[in-house]
Amino acid sequence: MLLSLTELQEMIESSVLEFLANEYDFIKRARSLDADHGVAPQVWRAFAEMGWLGLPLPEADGGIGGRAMECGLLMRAFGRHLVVEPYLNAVLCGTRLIAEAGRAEQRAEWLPELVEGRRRVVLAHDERGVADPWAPRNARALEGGNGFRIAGAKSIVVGASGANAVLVSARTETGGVALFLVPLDAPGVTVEACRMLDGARAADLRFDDVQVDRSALLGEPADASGVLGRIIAEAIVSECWEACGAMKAALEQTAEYTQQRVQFGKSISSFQVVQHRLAEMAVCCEEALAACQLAALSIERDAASAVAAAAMAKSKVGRGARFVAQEAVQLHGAMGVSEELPIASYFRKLLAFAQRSGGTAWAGQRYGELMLLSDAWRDSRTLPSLARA
Amino acid sequence: MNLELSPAEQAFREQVRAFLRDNLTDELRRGQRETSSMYPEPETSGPWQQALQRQGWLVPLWPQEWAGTGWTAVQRFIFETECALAGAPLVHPMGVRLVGPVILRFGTEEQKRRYLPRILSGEDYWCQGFSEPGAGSDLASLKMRAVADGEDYVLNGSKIWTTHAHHANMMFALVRTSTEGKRQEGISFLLIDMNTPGIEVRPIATIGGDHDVNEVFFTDVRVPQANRIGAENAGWDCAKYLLEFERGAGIFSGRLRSQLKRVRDAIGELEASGVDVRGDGRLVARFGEVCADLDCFEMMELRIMGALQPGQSPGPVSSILKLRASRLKQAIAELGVEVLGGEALRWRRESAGGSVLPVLVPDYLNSRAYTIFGGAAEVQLGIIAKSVVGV
Repeated sequence: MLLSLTELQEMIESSVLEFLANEYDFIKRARSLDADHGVAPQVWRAFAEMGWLGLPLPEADGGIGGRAMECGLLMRAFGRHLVVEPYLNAVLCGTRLIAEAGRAEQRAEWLPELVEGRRRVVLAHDERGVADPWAPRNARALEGGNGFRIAGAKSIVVGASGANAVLVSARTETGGVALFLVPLDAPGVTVEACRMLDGARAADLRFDDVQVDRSALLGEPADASGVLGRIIAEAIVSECWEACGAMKAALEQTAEYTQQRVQFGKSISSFQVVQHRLAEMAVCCEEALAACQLAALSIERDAASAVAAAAMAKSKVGRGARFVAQEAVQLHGAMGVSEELPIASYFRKLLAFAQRSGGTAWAGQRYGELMLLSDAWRDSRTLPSLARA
Repeated sequence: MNLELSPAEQAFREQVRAFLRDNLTDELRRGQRETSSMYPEPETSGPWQQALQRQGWLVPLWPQEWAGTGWTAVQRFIFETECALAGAPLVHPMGVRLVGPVILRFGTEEQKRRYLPRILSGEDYWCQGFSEPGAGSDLASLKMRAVADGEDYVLNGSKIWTTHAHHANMMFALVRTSTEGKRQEGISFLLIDMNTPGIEVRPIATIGGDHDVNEVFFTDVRVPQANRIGAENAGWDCAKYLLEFERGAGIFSGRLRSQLKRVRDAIGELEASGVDVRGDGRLVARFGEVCADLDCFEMMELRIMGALQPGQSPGPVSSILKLRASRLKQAIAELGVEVLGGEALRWRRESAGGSVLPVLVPDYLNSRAYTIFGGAAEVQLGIIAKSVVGV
């Protein structure tokens, strides 16, 4: 067992934190908030130069070969600095799906420019009224002519405004889920940009019988649900890492604030009730980190466990995130509900996290169903499972 | 980071499993499974302690010259996890895990030779005389007096919440040998033969209906000064060292998971009798959340305990483990009661016939003590705030 970070992991973590500390403090972050589509060009370019736009890709594709832990460490640093650029949906979902499921010509056409940051592709999967991230979607793709006609609507697609193309998940006539690479300027595509709770940008997309060639189908087999399900699960784990970073920063800022804030003649951090609440927040942060580590390491060991790992982490981190966010605002007093301090932004980031991907309560129930069905929980979750004698 | 076992760790794990297959009888498993109090009765823990002693695996934390195993922290995690998941009884910790290390650290050669072999063999069954009425989490306020008289001390006072004092033939206790100076500086650490005249043990019935703890009264009890560990008035150092072991040396996650198994088995029993437990979405969700809590706790414990060097203490972060382990114990017990629903109204049946159902309510009731003993949850939060958060 190796219970500390590898050299590569240390390097990724320290370089991301160093970059963000210099280039993405709370003031400089405004550049990204105000930029077109919520992407500051110099920031995205820097991500490319640092190699992060290829982090989850094999070295042969110009990537770093990062796995769940490496992606998680980067996302934790992003969470700490409230990065608004759509890294998760563009790189960890879009680019990665093309790398894993795309045909040779799709990979050749897209990957180099995606890794260099000259183009962006995001995943368009979520739909209104469908909480379960893994449930089949309502969008349809009917086969006809030389390709498919796509009809349906996708909701709050992160990073869609400003992207070059989206990967649309749609049900085919054979009942499977297929992914289509659709340029956003294709006839029949409506893009309605929106701002998100955490300052990031997204768009609602409508597809009115959008005609695409057969070549728009990602990969060969029409059913992409296997790879899509796994990458969604890994993305959920990554967003848990991101929340984990935001939680830790919120805790640190709150601890600092309570030491400065004087009431009744002394700093409020000297009151036991305040100390206990800070301690409860610290426990939540430690547990959230453990949830993320366990989920990432489980996925690296056994990709088939990704859905269960994601449900576990989302339930745990989601509950902790809500607690830490609410306590952080409470302990900031009235300042906690003003936009002036970063803490309001952390609160919104953590609320956005809790609402994403089906939500926290849903994840707990999903994990309960999975565990009761499989009885996998009877064994240790850290030691590799062995057939019991 | 990775969770892969090295070939040596893998072989060790197989060895532990083989040992459990050969030595863990159904009777011992049942004894542990039907325990609703904190520790199993001596008839369950005793034979298991002997089996571990024969194998040389009883005291992994002791130095190797005193029967320690020399295991790495990861080996210890594997061992504790495998034992717990197989349903092995909990070894009574007072001798092997608490007073043993104190004697090793602070005792004289003669004291080591006298007491340690008897701890290993199980000849001595120990109880812990720390708490007093009025001195719980504020341990330094204890009052029981030990007045020097010739070669002896004469003890007067009482101890309370003394677990298994009614089984024990030996007690390690903190007594007041001075009232001068700081409160912590007038305390001595004493080993007391429970058969000494003047000691009276009175049971305290606990909320779960078990006889686990006692009140112990001392009236002019003579204890040789030779039974003192360390210098007079220096007992607080022994106590702090012992508390580190009490809070930080345990590996709880496997034990907690075996508790959760009881809840799952209860679901099975109820469903066999026609109750549709899993049709209740709220229970399924709660089960999922408890599983997630437990999984994360296991990872946190492995990361903290597994990274320790031999002899190293986890330090203040052990307060996080103590706090979470005790709350998880309560959450699992509470889930058990929720699963029972109206069946929880039925109080213990005399003959359970192998059913796990009658254990769940007493277990829940008793579990409330977990955030009180060993330093209440509020004490742990204070430690976490100061040492982890830094306020």
